[in-house]
Amino acid sequence: MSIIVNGSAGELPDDPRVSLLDYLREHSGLHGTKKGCDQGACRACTVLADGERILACLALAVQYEGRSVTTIEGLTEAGSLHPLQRAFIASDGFQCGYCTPGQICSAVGMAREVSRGVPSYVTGDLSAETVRLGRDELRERMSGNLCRCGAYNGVVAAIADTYAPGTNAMEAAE
Amino acid sequence: MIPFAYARAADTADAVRLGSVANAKYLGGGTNLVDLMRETIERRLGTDPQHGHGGREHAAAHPLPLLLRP
Repeated sequence: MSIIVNGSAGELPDDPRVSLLDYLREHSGLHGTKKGCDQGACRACTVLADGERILACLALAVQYEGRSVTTIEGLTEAGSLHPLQRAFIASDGFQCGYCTPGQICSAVGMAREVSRGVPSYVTGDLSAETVRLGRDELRERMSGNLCRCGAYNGVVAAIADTYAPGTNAMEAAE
Repeated sequence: MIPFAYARAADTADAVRLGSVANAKYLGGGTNLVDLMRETIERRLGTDPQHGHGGREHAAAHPLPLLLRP
């Protein structure tokens, strides 16, 4: 049984109780993905499975046999930071940084959902084929990723600069 | 977490077959089954009406398959 993490195949554990999060951190030495609550509430452990954002703490590693998982370590390309990583630095999208890998993986997955026209709770026209990533859409779609430092405005600014340039993330109305 | 067995269904018919096993539970998207198992709140497999709570040995003898939708 194998799993692909950041492009490299690895052996899955025999014990099905091992969460994907513990597999990444304890078995694969990838400590970028963080364990916050370990019960699906904080989303610090968000990673991408075949491009979809998932919570690694509530996923069993064996569930992802044969699947491709991308962590924050896998977002860098040829040693240079992902555009979102650069935007987080530029916008002060963090204080302690604990939630940041999850925020960034979540935002990458979110952008893919938007590009596919997947509606959110605040999308007005559910049948529309395209979604405009405005302030309210962005905040709603990222609302599950908690930041206890309260760096939300910087987080939103970084994501808006990357995926919705020209949008004023601080505007009160759409 | 109490030990359990995990099985992956190959198709719908396989999922129905595997799901008919005693104490089997389906693991799907949006479930909170895993965190309830982690907190041992979800522990049906550890409960034996004949012998009370059986613990690990009982759980190992009567594993709980977790099934994925194909």
